[in-house]
Amino acid sequence: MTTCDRAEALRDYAFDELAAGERREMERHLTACTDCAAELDQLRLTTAALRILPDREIPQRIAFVSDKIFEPSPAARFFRSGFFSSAWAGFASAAIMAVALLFTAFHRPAEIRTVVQTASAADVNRRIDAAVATAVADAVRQVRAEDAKTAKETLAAAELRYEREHRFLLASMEQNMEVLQKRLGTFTSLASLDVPQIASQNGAGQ
Amino acid sequence: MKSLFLLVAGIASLCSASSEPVVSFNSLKAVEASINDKLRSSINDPYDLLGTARGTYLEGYGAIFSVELNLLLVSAPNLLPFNQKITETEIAAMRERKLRKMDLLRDSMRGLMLGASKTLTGLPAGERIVMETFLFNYHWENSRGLPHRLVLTAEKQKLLDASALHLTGAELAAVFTQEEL
Repeated sequence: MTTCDRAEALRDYAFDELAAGERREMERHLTACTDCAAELDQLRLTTAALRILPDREIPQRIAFVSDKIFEPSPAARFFRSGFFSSAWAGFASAAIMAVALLFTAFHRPAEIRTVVQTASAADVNRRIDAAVATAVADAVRQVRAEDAKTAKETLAAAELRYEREHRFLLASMEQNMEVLQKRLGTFTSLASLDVPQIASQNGAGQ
Repeated sequence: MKSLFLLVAGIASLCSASSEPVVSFNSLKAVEASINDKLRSSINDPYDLLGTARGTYLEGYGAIFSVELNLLLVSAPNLLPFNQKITETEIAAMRERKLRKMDLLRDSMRGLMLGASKTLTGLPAGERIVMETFLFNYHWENSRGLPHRLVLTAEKQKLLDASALHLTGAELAAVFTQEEL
């Protein structure tokens, strides 16, 4: 604590509340007054420590226990009443236990029997074999049906092609026969024409 | 009696003269033979003669000759049990050959008709000489552009004139009426 008469001005200086002229005058004073310089260091240390502390919001409402808002609800007042005191609770527990004992003594539930059927390995294998056999049979049936369809289509196409070629060949053969007959007729006709010429030539020669 | 005999003989001779054809059978046969020989004579690329020439005379119209042939005889591909395929190339080549031979056939027919105009001495000059050729095509051939019948018609007098003037080419072709069916 400084004994200098300018202690109050020093606090204003520490909190940056002095005017520019007073501030320069205080700075000159601090170079000469060691007490005020030490006091300034303490003030700055305190200011720094205060700035480290977190800010706390000012509560917006202050209430007292006597306010009506803090009065317990009717249900809370019922549970806080003496009905739910420890003695009453002990008595109620004993009564419930007695009722439960009596109930179990005169009433027995039906026996629950749980039957777990476990399949044997042979049974499982038999089922798997049956499923595989069915799937294979279906696949074979499908493949055979497709093969039969393909074979039928191929056969029909081949028959059609054969029929076409057969007709073509037949028509060609008929036409060839017609040509041969015409050639034969031509040959015969020409031969019959040539014979009188040869005969006349022979007659002329004689 | 003698006069009656002469009258009957005269009438009979007149009747026989009127029934005698103007174009003799022998002259028609001679023309037929010339047609057959001509169409068979080509050694390099002969026609396939399928029907020999047949001639007839229609009084007041003219002499008509018909013949049937295939334009190709040699190396014409044909369907045999061991050769049942004909390529498109072969068919196209046949068509080309036939088209080329059509011109040769027309020339041959014109020459034959010029000759017939001289042979058919009894044929009146104002009547016609007709030559009809039936052309045979196989069913598998490409016969597009190829006729089935070729008919040439010309008046006898014009044929004699053309022969005397030694007409050729377009001038000779103008003498004929051509019909292709």
